[in-house]
Amino acid sequence: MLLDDLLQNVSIIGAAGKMGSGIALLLLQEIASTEARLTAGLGRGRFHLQLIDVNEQAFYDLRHYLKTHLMRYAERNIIALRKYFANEAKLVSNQDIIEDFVEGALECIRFETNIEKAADSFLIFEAVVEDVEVKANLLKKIHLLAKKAPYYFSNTSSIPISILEEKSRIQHRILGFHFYNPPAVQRLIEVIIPEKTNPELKDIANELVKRLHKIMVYSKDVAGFIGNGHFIREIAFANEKVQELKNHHAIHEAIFMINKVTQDFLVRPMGIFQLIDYVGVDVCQKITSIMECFLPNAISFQKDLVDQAVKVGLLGGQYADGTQKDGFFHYENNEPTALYSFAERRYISFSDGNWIEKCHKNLGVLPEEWLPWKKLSKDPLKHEKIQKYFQKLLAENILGAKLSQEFLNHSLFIARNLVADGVAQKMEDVATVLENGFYHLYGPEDILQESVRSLL
Amino acid sequence: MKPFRKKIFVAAGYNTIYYGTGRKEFDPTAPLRGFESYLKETAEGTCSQIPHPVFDEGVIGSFMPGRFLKQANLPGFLPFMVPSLAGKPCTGIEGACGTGGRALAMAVRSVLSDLADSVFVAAFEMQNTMKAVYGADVLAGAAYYNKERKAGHAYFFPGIFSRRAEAYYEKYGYEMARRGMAKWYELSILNARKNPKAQEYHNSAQDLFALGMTPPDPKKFVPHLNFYDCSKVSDGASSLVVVTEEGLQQCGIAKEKAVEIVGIGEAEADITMAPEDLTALSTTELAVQKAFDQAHIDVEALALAELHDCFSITALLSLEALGLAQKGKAAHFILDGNTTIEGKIPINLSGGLGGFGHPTGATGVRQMVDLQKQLTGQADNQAVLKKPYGLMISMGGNDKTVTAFVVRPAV
Repeated sequence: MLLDDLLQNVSIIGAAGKMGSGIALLLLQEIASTEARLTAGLGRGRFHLQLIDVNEQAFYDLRHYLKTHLMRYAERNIIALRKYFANEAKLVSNQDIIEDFVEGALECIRFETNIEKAADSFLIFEAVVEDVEVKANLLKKIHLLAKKAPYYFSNTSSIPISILEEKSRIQHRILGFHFYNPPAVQRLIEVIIPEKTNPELKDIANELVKRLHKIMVYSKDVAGFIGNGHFIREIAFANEKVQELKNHHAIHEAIFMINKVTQDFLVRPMGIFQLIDYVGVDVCQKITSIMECFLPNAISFQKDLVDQAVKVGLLGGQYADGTQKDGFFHYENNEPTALYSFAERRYISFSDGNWIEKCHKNLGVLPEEWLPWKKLSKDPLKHEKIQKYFQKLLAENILGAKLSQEFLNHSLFIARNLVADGVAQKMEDVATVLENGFYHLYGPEDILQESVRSLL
Repeated sequence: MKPFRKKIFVAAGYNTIYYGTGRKEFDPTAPLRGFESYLKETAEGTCSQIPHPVFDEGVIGSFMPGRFLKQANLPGFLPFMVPSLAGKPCTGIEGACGTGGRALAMAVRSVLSDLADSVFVAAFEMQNTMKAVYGADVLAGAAYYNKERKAGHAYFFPGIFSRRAEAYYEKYGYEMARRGMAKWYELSILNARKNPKAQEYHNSAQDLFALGMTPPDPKKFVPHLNFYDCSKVSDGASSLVVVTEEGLQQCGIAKEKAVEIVGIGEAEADITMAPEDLTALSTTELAVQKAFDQAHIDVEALALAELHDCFSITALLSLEALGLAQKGKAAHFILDGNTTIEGKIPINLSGGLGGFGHPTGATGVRQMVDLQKQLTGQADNQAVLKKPYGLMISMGGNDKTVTAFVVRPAV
């Protein structure tokens, strides 16, 4: 079947969650555009999108979110929409067309709490909690109800698809389709295709990625895939570094310094502990456990800090309106303003005493070539400027430079192993994931090839 | 056409900042400055140049305030702007982007009829009240909406002039036209950088010509124009006074600061009909010729001009309508440097619609303000004038409602 046909009935399970709602928006945009294109704006009502979630309370906010963003989507795509609606005499102005499109799109949606409503779908997207049993049981249930031999897209970020396939007994009709957070903004999709997957599904996934204007990277069906394969290992490394620093500094100072190195010194959008908060501390913990469970060779990752944080209830993640919840850091207007001290069992404000200054002094002064990530990310000469900056930084004899080098080396080490293990097909794929899923401004090999390698 | 039966002067011109994307202070998320504030500012700007700011009449022009602001009955705002207009005749004028020209023509009629010796003329538009995608629907009212909107482009007027550009490329060749349009863009921005109130005053782009050469992309915009070919969405207001000799004296305006209108050319084309020739602005040609006839001059007598360049292709067509360049040769005329401040005939030293901004209904009055400033030596981007006359073209819609004026220093 063609994607256009399959889009006529789609279900998303876990649609009101952080990932599910973004996936819902992307698919609704594509479904509504397809409907408008195929029906020329006439005879709507052929396309259905079931948004299924146990959290009925969240549907009101979800509808509002979808409506607001659909309107913007229609405004951005008005040139194409005018062509689709060219024969609809009643729709004359841009405003007529945009309003009709949004209304028509919202009419495709059915908000449901019962997974039985997915029974008539051709495509089923799963974006429920990152838990093997929850996902597998859900998929199994739907598979028993399904009437149209659907294809399944799992948004898991770590669970091997073959495990879900085996446990749910969905044979060859499921793949991993891992959006990054938030799905409507992040351009990366990691696609995981188990060996015996129906080739038609592979083609459909390819076309869907294209239609959603995303960047696709294939990952082998190994727990954690490429993105978390790198991230969780880097968390373990950060954990290790904090333990080392703890010998000479208070633990909150150690966490602050590692966060600063992984943000400012490495020119990334946020430091690693802030990123853990963003992803959700408990989510990171779960992913780590999943990887420990399903990776070959019974690897275990150092994650005492994540465990400790979850234990005392520092879970991170976001509220429904998108604002950041507290985790390792306490946030005000989405900006970290205090850091949790496991020793003192309280958040210590950045302005409390002079500990921040002390940390900055310990790490040393950033070279004058340094520019913040936000500024550099928009700079057309960013690649040259980054090279220059790192050349200068890594020649400095300061703690910040030493730690930066260790993180860069380790990132390269992880990336090479991901390729050696076949998780990523090539180094460029790891770079694509880091640059598009994590907004790094350089790939793991870029800096080392140019400047660090000579120092190694 | 005979000369006017009495002398008519323009003085005390004032422009507010023309506001929109490009201005450093532009912030689409902040509440917009109210239109009342623009009206007050421009009225005070004009009145502050006049020792006795008491006028016989008021004229106000705006194109679509009913849609952009949900406000009609604009004459009622004239006494709010100039309190001495309370109890006097006040009139609202609309002629799409040619509104300003027609507001001036209305004032000319009043003073010629002996009903008034002094007329306060203001014009304004506020277009940032809605996103461009919806503003395009509103501006489509400058064409024959019932017949043209449905088949028109999402960005309606860029679509209309894109078709003119297409016809021009086909007839005269793409490469040279594109180079001429790119150069026009470059000159517009360079001029705007000399005018602190221009929308593009803060534009600091390096290679303007290269930007102007950007190939059009029909997926993102219209098929034959790029973004740099187009004037932007703007807010702004302009005002001045149209007076007789007696009016000058009553107001106490020094003649040195006034210009005299010596020619007017007004022409209308049937809005329900498509243009006969997409590569010519025939209504503009007619209006310009009438203004020249009345002034008893030809194009060679012009020191400078303010043309209606809502799109860079319109600039090329206007130069040809004016007779400065032969048909198909406007690009050469621009590329040879004839329109720069040191050139044969400096054009749009204000920055024009692309550089100064184009709050549609306000533009015609803004052009007259700039001519008055240039011809009396008060302009920000002042030219050294070698000849006595200045000309402006105010155009509404697709070459439908056109008013041209020829002016010269009053002394």
